[in-house]
Amino acid sequence: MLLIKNLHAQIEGKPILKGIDLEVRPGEIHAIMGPNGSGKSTLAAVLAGNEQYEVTDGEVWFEGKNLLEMPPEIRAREGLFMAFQYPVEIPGVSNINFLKTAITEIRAYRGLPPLSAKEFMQRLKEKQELVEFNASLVNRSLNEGFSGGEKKRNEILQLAMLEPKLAILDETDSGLDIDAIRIVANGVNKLRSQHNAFIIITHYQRLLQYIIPDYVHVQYDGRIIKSGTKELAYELEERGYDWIKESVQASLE
Amino acid sequence: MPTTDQDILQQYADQDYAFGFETRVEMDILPPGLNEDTVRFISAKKEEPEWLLQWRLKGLEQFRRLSKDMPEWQNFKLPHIDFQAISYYAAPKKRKLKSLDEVDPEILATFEKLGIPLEEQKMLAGVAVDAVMDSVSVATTFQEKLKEKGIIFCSMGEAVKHYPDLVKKYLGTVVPYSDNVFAALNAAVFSDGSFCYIPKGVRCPMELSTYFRINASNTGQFERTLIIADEGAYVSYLEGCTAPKRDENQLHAAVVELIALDHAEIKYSTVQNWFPGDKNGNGGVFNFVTKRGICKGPHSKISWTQVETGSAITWKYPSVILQGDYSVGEFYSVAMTRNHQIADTGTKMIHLGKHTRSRIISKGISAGYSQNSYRGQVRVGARADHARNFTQCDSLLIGDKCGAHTFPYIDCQNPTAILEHEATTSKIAEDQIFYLNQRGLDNEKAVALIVNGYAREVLNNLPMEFAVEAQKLLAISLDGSVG
Amino acid sequence: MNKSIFNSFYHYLIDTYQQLQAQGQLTPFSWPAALLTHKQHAFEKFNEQGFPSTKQEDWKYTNLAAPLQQIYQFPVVSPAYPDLKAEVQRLTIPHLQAYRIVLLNGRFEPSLSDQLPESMGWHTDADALHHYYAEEYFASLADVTQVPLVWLNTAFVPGFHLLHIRETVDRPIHVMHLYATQQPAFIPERLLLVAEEGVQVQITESFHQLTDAPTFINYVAEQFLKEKVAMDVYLINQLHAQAAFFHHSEIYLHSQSTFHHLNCCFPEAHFIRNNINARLQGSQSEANLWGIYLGNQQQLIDNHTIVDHQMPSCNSNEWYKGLLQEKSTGVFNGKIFVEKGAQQTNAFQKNNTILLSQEATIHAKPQLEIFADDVKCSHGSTVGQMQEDALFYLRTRGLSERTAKQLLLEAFAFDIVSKAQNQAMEDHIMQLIRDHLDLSAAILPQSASPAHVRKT
Ligand SMILES: Nc1ncnc2c1ncn2[C@@H]1O[C@H](COP(=O)(O)OP(=O)(O)OP(=O)(O)O)[C@@H](O)[C@H]1O
Ligand SMILES: [Mg+2]
Repeated sequence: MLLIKNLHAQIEGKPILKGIDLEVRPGEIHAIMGPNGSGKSTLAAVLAGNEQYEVTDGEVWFEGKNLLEMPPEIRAREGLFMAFQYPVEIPGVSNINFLKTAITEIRAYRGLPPLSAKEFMQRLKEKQELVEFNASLVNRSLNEGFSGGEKKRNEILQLAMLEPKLAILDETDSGLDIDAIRIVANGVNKLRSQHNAFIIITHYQRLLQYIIPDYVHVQYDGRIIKSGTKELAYELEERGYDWIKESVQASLE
Repeated sequence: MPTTDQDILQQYADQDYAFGFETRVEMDILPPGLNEDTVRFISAKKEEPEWLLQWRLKGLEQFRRLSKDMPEWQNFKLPHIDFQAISYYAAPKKRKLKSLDEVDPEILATFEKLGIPLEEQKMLAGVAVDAVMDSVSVATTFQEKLKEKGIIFCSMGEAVKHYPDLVKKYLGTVVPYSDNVFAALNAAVFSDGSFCYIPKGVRCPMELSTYFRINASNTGQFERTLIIADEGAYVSYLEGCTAPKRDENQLHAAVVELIALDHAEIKYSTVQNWFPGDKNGNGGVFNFVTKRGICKGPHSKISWTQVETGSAITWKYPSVILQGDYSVGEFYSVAMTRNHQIADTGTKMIHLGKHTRSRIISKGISAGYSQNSYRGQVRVGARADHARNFTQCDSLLIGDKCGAHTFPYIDCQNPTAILEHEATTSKIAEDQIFYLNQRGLDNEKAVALIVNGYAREVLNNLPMEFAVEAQKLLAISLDGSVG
Repeated sequence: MNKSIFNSFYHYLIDTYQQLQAQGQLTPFSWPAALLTHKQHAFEKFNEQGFPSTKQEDWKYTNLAAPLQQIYQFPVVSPAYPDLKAEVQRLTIPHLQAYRIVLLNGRFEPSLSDQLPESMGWHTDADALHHYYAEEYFASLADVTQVPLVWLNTAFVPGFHLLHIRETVDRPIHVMHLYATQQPAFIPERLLLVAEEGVQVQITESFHQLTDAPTFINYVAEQFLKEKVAMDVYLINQLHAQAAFFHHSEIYLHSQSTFHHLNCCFPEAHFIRNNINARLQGSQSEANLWGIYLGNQQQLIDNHTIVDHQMPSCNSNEWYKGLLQEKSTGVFNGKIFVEKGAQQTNAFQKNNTILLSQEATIHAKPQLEIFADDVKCSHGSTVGQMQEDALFYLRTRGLSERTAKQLLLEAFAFDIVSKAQNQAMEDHIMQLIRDHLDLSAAILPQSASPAHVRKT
């Protein structure tokens, strides 16, 4: 589904990603962990098509298509979704209007007619229940005045509404209370299938207790320096990152 | 408990000007009057080259033209100034000093009293001072030490003699003699001032400082300062000023020009404490100053910081022309007015280069019957892609007889610019005072504390020694403002 | 003095006035002596001062010399326009259900207007001139501001309309200003509005041109709100490119009255200057000035506002937003005065502009002049573009760049449009914004090409 080869990217001339390789197949859940500033959000942003970052080398294939040549909205319509670490507040744009427009455009891209108002509201209601997201918030402006946790839940609601093939969750768990983490995890578990995949960026193995990843990767200084199974997450929580950094250091010397 | 507003104002108004003494030294004074001969006399007295005399004469011509139609845009009526009643040259008699030992002890004592010791051994560590009494520079300290680094720091008079090429290359390039009526007057009759050149790649190891003092009566002071930071150079420059108490008004019409080349940085700080006049608004200095810097080269930076507490009228807009790409301009100002003082001050940030940034922080404090205006312009030219400005200008009112005014001009011709301007006007909140009262502070201390906090962002930009002085000045100006 | 413009149009006006006066044809009906004095005085002032030039602070960025290059003829001759009824129908605002008052070239058209209810008095021509409010208020509000273009209006206007709101009006009022001329025409127009104590009223004024001839419209409105009045005014400017529009509203508010003013300027009049002055003359009154302007082509849209706090315990809010496309220029000048003794004042002002083209320009001058200490005043002004991260966010959700831009720009405008106190007006204004936004041309902060891939 997603194939990343030797991806290099920089911002304002400063290299951040220094050769990322990753393959994600349908049905899989990948977790990416790593110390602050190691470039996890950058990877997500580059995949989503943020133009501030300049890709200097490497390639990314999504469902057999060259992802890097697509503008962000085409990536979204092709089925790529990113839940932002810091969702943007957009005053004046209503949540509903926005969601409706997004779904209509994505459907049109896939040759589907727009949902009727009734179908839309129906689906919204379902998904809201799925992610246990308070209805009254939906009549407000996009993320405006939302608490940190509400913004994250709103991201998951959008995820549920847009039904992407590949979803990247950038630290969706941080800022959430324990109940909310469980709710988000439940949502993801209900949404996962043989046809879609998730990349979950997180600092804590707590989320991974609820969403069992197939692979855990450690990203450090713009590279994935270690990959393993879910046990790796426990080990990281126990021991921190230093031992991996050291072993990488050692292997370089 | 707080006394009435009336008492407060009374006490506040009665606060005295601490620097109002006069020094008795023998002076060379030109009789009042302004004409070609005055200009020629000054030029001759200073043994200037012909080109400079010609330049001055052009300034005089412009002055004659411009003074027919005195500016009206400012937020006060310009008082009538009889330019013929002013003496345009006054100098302590003793000339040609070889060392500080030869400086008239009276003058040394004067600067001592002002807290500006000139004797090098007593100097605050790391500050080189050029002291200007009335029209001429009386002493420049630490010259030798600076010379080792190739830094030139001397009076304008000396610079004209010893570095005529540098002076000729830059003088009037930022503030031309035709700029405005007071700049034209300055060009014609400027007496002295400081000159400073920091060569390529040199970081000036100490603060450079000029202290201005108007002493003689009926004189104006017209100094001119020129600072050039060559590629990659850095300098921090301080300016302070005082004047004796007099019933009549004194005119101060200075010009400051700053030039920052590629990657150079100039920080210019002023603590202005000219005599503000008495509590009824008699006397005081008319402070009509043109200050402007140009960020000529890419990545250069000019930063103005000013604390304005003195002068009967202040008319001054230290500005930056951001010509070089990625250059940065800053303006930090605290202007405090009381009694019948008038301040009309602010800045202009002219964005010409790409990715240029500017920041304006202005804090006005008005009390008594004073009028305090912020006037500023942020202009973004059509080619200044990605220019950014942030402006914050706040006014604090103490008492209900004063005024606070804000006149920002925002002119933008480029769609990629991001400009933000915020302004607020308020009085000190009673609950803040109450909170501090409750913690054991009396009203006066509480207000001082709040005002200091209010001015903090600006004071923080001053070099250490100056910040202390400025804080004291604000405290003195506030003393007794609240019962 | 170079502070004024004395061009050929000025001379034409002066000559015309004197000729008409000599022929006794200055006004179609006889003016009471008291009002005639105002007229005479205004003419003398205009004669002496001419048109203001850019040397005057209030006209610094607004050069009248350009729109007034040609001779606009006076008095205006209205052509027989074939189908005014259809036009009025076309320009009726959907769902507003308003009482329509139609003016053609400043003259009242009773046959096109609706039957008006008892609660409001509409007086024109001689009827207005001899109304008891005429002597009391005419020229007493606007002329004292010493604005030469107001003097020009007072001197030339043939008569004025008096809208007297006696009681709360059950439906909104829509004053439709239509202009149709064959020749370049100077059209002075005037309204005097008096709202009696405690009334509530909503008024929409829209401006439309039916022909292509150049027109110079000079509209002065004096509005007097007595105690406890609640009044909303909507201004919708939809004039053609050939129009030069000057408008001055002087609004006096008495205690506990509330005023909402929503000023909307749309393409494509090449010159628009609005002076909107709200004077808070009674305590606990409230003035709200909202504005949205959308420029295109070479339009100059200049909004000058004054909120004048003369009495204690008043509130004011002002928020103007601009979207400037193509080669348009916006000018915003917002003055807030808090006069001596106007304690417990709250005065807030904001203004935001988005430049949507390389050639658009904005000049903003927010301004505070405060002479009382117990006040809370602030203004904020920004110039910028659409938020880049918001745009990216929307695109990652599958919205095309165009749709994302549209959403963001509509959201930007919505802050103002949502101030409308009436749903029909809100919808109408929003629709006009949609109609005039040219999204394909709206530039973005960064080039909108797909992520840059550099092959190595
Ligand atoms: N716009 C930017 N300009 C300059 N540097 C940036 C920018 N965005 C990111 N960086 C730098 O890139 C590096 C990687 O940042 P990134 O946000 O991808 O890290 P992260 O792994 O997501 O960290 P965290 O765990 O804290 O979220 C950091 O050093 C950051 O400072
Ligand atoms: Mg991150």
